[in-house]
Amino acid sequence: MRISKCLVLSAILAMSAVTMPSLGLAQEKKPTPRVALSNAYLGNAWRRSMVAAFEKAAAKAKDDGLISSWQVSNAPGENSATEQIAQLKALLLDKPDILIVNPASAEALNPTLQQACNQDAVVVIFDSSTDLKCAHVVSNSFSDWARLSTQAIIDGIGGKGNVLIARGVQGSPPEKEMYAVQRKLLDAQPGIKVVGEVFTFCDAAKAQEALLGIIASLPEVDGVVGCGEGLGAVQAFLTAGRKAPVVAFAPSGRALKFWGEGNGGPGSVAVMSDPGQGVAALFAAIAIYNGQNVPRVTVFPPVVVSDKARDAWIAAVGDDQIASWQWTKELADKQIQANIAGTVDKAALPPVPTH
Amino acid sequence: MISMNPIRSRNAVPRGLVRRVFPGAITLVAMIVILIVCGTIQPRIWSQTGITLILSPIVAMVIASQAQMVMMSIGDIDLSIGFFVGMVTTIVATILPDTPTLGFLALGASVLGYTLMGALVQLREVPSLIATLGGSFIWLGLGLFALPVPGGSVPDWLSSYAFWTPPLSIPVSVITMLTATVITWFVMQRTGLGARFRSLGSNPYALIRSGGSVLRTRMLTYAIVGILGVLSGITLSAEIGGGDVNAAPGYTLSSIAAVILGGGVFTGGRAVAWGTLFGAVTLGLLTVLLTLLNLSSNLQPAVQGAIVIAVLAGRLVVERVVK
Repeated sequence: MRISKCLVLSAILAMSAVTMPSLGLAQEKKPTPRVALSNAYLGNAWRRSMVAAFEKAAAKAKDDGLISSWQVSNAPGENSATEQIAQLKALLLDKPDILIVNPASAEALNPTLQQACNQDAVVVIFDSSTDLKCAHVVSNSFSDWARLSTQAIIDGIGGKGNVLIARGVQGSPPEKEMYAVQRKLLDAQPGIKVVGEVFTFCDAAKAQEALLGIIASLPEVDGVVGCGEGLGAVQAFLTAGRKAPVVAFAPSGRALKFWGEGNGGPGSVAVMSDPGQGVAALFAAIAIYNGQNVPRVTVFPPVVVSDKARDAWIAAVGDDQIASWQWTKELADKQIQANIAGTVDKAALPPVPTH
Repeated sequence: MISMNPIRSRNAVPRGLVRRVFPGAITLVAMIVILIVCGTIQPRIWSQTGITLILSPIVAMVIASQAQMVMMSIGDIDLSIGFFVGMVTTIVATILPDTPTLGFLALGASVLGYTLMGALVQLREVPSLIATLGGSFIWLGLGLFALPVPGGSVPDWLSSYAFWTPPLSIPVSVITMLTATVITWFVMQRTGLGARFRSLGSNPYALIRSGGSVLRTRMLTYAIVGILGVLSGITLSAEIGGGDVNAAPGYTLSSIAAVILGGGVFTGGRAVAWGTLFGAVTLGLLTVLLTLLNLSSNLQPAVQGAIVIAVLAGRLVVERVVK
């Protein structure tokens, strides 16, 4: 009796010794994550395009088995940090595995996001910066934005002629960063002369007003280097009865249509920070969750509509939308690799949407 | 048979009391309903951590609403409270941690600033809307001056209070909210000062005839609003872990909504500390409810508005019945 008992016991022990490691392996494979997106504001076209792109990509990621569930939550109010804190805390009750945040403030959410990290959630912030150590950041760089749009305009005017610099929000850090890049690229072109600078807040209506005020004092202008105010710039020049320069449009459906109707000098471009960043953040977060190596700050390219691809984009972007890159897991992984390798400048842009 | 409607019966409670208490009671019911709905969707709410999570973002809003309630009790409206609270967070996050004395002096000076705003409203007969709107720009400017970019850090004692786990598993946010409400209620309902405030709102001539100074009463009101604003800013900076002058501009309008939900009136003369507590918590819980309901993005703002209108409509119906 006793011996047989011992035998049975040791057999059980032996079996568990065999099965234990495999059990251990099975546990290392984490369950597919549950995802929550916290958005601070839904009041402009960029945010609406961002949320629409995210909802589409998240639904597909769920079908593909990359995530088990997803939720989008938009805080009420006008981009209010306090509302977003309340919203985030309600989301935390559900203990999501991945928390993606488009924040109202770079700082005010830190204690709340720290709580999320303490719950072992993967926290990815996009379209902003943060000094919170436990969070990852996905962003577009303003230098890339300035570099891509300025280079397109330099090419558009053939490297020689008069340009006007349309500057962004006076005194803001992104504006300073973009201006430095614009100056550097323009100063490297001996054939180009900067004939003026004007603050347009990257806004078409403000640009039109500001330009109409100074247009009479300007010589022939071949290009306007700016940050998405092209629609207003072209209208100002047309109102004054002058030749439309090469400009940088915003890639909104409306501006693209206006451009497609033959307004704006040939070689114009449309550049803006990418509303698809939310989707990029989703794929980056999934990679982090699955234990891949992802840098704390990952830079993704802004959305660029070139002269050649313009008509394809017009077909893909609705009137009230902003053009956005359609990130997939493969494309996002490639961009993450480029960030690790330090080759972001040379990384290929995603393909133009085809429908 | 006893009359079906107790309010209409001969032994009815005083009408003024009914009018003052009923809207707050309706809001209390709405608050409890929202809380139960939230708790049904997400049972994790029913725990110390759960309650703390959903209530801690509302604490500063409750205190700011009490400030607005004091202001509205004399018939004035404060359009500067949101930026004032934001400015206080910048002082808390910059001056207070290293030089506490200077920090408290700065906070005292902001209360003094509020008091002077009250004197301006009284002496120059500037409408409070205009004076406080102007004040809001001053607070914004001072806040940007103290801290141009959001950041800074809060004093240790403040963060340890915010993360304190009180005994009997009572959430610390509940303690702060109730303390602020009880003190405001006591001052407004149980002291001569509160009586003078309400008298200034409902019938300033009675105040003058009884020997009170309208100027001093108005200045004291603004001083109390300033003190509550400072307290709100201190709790908010604990919540956001630093200072940001733009953290809470929404408090200005939300606090007015909270007072109205709680039974306050624009014309003054009514002090509803408890109602204001329920109003502010209800408004704060709406964000939680909307998040938990997981509605489509486009529906969320509309639903929020619809709930507020429903509660206000409920109040109107009740008031009609009471009359």
